[in-house]
Amino acid sequence: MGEAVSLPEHHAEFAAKHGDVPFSFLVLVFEESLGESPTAQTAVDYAEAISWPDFPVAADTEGSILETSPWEGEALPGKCVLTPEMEILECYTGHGNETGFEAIVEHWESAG
Amino acid sequence: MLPYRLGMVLALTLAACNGEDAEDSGSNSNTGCSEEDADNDGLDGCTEEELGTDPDQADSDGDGFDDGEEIDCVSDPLDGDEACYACGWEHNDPGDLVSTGAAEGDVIANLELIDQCEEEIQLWDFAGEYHILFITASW
Repeated sequence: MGEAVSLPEHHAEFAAKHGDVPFSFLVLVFEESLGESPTAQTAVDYAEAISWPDFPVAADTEGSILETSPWEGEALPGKCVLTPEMEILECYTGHGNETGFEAIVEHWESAG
Repeated sequence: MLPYRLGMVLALTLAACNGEDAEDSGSNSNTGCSEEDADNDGLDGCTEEELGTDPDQADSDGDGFDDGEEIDCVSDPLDGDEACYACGWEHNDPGDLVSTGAAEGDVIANLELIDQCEEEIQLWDFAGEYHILFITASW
């Protein structure tokens, strides 16, 4: 949960650098402890733990992200970058958001 | 589903209703529509006419939110299955998205999720912005 706590700060830093690029995080909890499926309460608890950010913190109660993206769940956290048209730009695993931010800025600039 | 089209409709409607030729009778002299908000839902008759909502019924689609409230929260006032999100998210699904697969370059499926306001949300309602999905577990 460590990195998730700092997402609002990362969001603010990105906005300061690229304020014209419409962007938001969306936290997606796909699994509970012991591999159980998350519930609505999972989303509430997670949002509280990261100080109730102003972006969505959502429970993927069916674990659908594993079947609907290239991310395979091998390690946490996973990241998937989506364009405004909901296209999957890329998915990867690991801490930090620079990879995702670079992909977004590159796509934004190429889209003109 | 509505926001892009809705913005245009509202802009045109408000321009028409703001006419300097409006008369004290409460109707627009150009269009004949009413500038009164008969049902007190925050939308005047001209706007309701353009939107297709019922000028005499505050909640045209019967989903519990007045038409004006739905416009403010970017929801469709004519779709009873679409209402304002408790957390305040906008309904930005442009309406013509089709999932094309699960690989890079594909349009992702419209995942149904539950947010921190304990409400079902749909991923495509977040169209219009770049997103990083931060995928994690609650260990």
